[in-house]
Amino acid sequence: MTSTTLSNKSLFNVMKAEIIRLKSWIIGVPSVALIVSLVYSFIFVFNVEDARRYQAESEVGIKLTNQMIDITGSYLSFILVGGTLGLMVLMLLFTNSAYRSLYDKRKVDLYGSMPITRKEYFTSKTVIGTGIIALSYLACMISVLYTSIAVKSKFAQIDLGHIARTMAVCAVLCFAVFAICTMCAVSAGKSWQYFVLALINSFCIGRIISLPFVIYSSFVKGASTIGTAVPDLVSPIEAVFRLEMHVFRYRWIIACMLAISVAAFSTASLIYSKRKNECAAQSISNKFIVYLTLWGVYSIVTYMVIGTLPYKASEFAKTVLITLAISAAVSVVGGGILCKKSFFKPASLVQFVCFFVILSVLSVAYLNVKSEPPKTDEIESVTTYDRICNYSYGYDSMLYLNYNRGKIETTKTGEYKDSKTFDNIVKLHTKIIEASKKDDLEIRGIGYEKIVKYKLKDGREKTLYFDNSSYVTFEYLLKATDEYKKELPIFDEKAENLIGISLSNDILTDYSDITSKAKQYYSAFTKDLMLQSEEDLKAIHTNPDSNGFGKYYVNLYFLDEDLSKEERSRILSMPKEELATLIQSDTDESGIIHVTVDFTQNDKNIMKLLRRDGLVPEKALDSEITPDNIQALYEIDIASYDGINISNAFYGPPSGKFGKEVLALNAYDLVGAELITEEKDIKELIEKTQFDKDQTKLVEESLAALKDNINKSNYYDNYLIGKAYFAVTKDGKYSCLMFVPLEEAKLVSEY
Amino acid sequence: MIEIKGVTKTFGNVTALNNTTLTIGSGSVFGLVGSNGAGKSTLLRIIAGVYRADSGSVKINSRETFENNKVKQNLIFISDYPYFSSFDTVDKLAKIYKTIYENWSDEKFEYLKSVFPIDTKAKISQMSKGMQRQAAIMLGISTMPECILFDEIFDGLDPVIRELVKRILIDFVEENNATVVIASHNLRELEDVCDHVALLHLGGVLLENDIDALKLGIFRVQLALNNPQDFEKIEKELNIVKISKLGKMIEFTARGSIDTARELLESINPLFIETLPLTLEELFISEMEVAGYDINNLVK
Repeated sequence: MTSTTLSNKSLFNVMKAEIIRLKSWIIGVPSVALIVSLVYSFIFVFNVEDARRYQAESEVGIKLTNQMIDITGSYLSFILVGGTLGLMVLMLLFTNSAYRSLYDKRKVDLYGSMPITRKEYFTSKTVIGTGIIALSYLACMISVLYTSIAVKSKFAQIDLGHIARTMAVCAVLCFAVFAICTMCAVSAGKSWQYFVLALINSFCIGRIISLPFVIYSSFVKGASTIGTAVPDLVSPIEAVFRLEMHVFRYRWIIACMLAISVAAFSTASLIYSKRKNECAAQSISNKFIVYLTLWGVYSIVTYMVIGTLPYKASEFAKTVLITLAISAAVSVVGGGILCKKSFFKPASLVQFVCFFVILSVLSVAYLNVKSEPPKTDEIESVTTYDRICNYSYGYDSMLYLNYNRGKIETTKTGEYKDSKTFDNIVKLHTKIIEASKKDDLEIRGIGYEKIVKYKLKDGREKTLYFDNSSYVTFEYLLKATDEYKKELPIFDEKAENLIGISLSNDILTDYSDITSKAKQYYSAFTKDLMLQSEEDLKAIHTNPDSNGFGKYYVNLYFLDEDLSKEERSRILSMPKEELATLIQSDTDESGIIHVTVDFTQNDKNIMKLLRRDGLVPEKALDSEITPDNIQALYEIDIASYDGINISNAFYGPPSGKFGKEVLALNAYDLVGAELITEEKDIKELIEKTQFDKDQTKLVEESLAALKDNINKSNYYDNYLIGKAYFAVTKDGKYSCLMFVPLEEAKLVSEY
Repeated sequence: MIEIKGVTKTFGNVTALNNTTLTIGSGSVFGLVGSNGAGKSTLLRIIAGVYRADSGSVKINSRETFENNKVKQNLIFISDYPYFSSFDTVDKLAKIYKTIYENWSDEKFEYLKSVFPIDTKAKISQMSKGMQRQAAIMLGISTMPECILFDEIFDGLDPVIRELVKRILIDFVEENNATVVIASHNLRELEDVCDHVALLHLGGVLLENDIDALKLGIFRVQLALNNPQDFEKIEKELNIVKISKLGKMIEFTARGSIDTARELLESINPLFIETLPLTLEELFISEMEVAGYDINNLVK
């Protein structure tokens, strides 16, 4: 900071003096934190006690615990979110008080002539401010501990580790605000200037950083949604309101906030060391902070402008022009107010606009989010990752030990080095960009993301984030590549080890002994799999007619290659029924390896063999199902559940309708299946029951969409809406789903 | 010793100090006088290390002052409006000063508490301007500085306290060989306490000398002549700074030896002649008039 060395003794003396001067802050703020949190704790524990007695008298045992956890959750929410916001306000005021000596000529005369170097002055205030934050959270921790212990002993196990993590996040958020306030405090010439700068920067800093990303996202949809996540990670005030979410990525938020703090303190230190004392009460000492603040204001305005525009690439130019115009207006007005006349100079305006342009260009260039994919021959390898963001969180669930629902998981799903695959990926990338220009893609979904990292031959890396809509397309394209297909488990096995094949769908499993023709089947499967196109694969998952109850998987059973000769002979010589039992036991000890393969009507070789052997599963027509030709009937309870938006987006019925009513928020679930095989019972049921064909189709479609995520529905309240009957004909060629609605839906738990 | 060499300081388009050079010896009470905006307060702030000079150097005992704790430990600057926060009392500030200034003297503080009639437990912000200044002087001197810089020290002090402050300052300088620099427009008071004085105008030093030497080097004469035209015979031999003629009466201010001037004047047989030494204030006005800072110019 200066050439003067920092003497420990001198710093110690300055600290002592500052402690005397700022005594009221050092004692006052943590005391307020302690008193407020303790008072609230006492009230809370008292009320909990009261509620417990009431509940105990009502004898509602288990519900009591849940309720207490909910209450404790809101307590934590109040203490931590409210307390952190309160502490941020106090730190805003503290910083003003700590550096007010800079805003007045008389104060500057006093402090400037004292034997205190700027470094000592800055260090002492930073240490004291940090101490205030630490002491306040310590005080808060005492009351939280008291509450947790009081509640824990009576009602519920509370995850104190979770509370500690949350508190650590709160503390760094507060520290970051303090750092930003310090940066603004040493720049301002007057108190009001300080407050304007500090408030805007504490709130807008995330927006400032994310602006280039968002502008970019508005230009190329479907290519990157990362910009929307940045403000949470870098804006301390915005992050407070998403505290629950940050508990799950607390390492990130702590690292980001510490980085922000270090950057802000370093900038503050630099500005302060360059600051001239004659700036006191005159103007802002450094224009950097003005640019940053205007950038913040400008970014907020930009967000509002972008928000009003349709997400079209063609609107990008308009967006940029409008935002540039706004930035010019903001810089003239804001700069004029903050820096007085000097900022009205055209040179300053040009400087600011250049700053904006350079920052945008550098940000985009640095983050390598260009709209063009790399050329195929430039690529060395491609790695793909799946990212699942699940924010279905809440304090109630977090309070259970080791039970956190919300999370982000990134998993490496593949690494490709084949130039054909590169071609496909680049083609897809181009397709997504083209689609985005025509508004064919819907983006901004939160949930599943595919991350594609291109490693280029020149050593550079280029990373793309595809959101869930483009992710689906991407998935099929990857699956359609030879490189991916060759990784399928079937290719790990040998034809001579194939001893059985069965067909199955979600509820029905069959077994057929066709060992004598195993080699033909293996060859047919491997041929057809290699021929499956992107469209074929897409059809398997998206066409309702080939899905759900009409959709079969083929299960291939291989003998384990490592089995001894004796064991192999023993299995092969088993009677058909015994072998079927062994195969269906599906255990590691069975010596059987089970491989499941999707197939479509387009898989000619497979279909040819299946038809030859009478195994083709066809969806039954009305005439094909009669009470006489049904071999087995599965009775299944069908329930709808109150889904939240995320589930609706993925698992809702494709039409969004059920019968004549719009039930867009509902999806359907299989509650249980019971096999009816007695011919008499089957006949009686089919003859007596009136099936609803229209609703059957809707339920079928919905279940098809639900298939892959059937367990997800367990989170929500199920309502029984009717029964589905799944029939299989005696010749095994036809199957059919029939739905009988209940007159009134019933809650499944009561049912 | 304070050495100021070629110091320049500008504020925007205004040049407060322009290549100012001045040396202030140890153990002296140095007065800085000058017109409004001459740069006195700016010079004091640069000496105190509050401002950094744009160019040139300021050294106290051969060490730069800006951002130098060792020098500032032995320096105190009391500005024209000393700052105290709303909650400060003299006793509270004494504690703070004690932790910051290594040479702080409780003994001196107690002594000053006993001589200055102020309540050291009262909030300083609620005191009168004069009492606030007393508080600042008490605290400043208790740090036992080698160099004391005052901007308008006598403002707001009653005559008794003014005398007290002068005595305390002179005693302190004698006891500690300290250097005191006082910027003031109150030339009458400065005349009592200063042994050296410098006159600043438009950011430069017009003159600087021992106060007695200054007074000896310039004088004023009133004389009456039967024939005022006789004066023209010797006028060129006198180093006249300012002259006014009214009939037979002539009044002029001149530099040089008063005895030599008297001999010359006697040679033209004046009806009467009176030579007077100038007060500091008269000296100031006289010198400023020479520099063009004349009331007649201002009221045109």
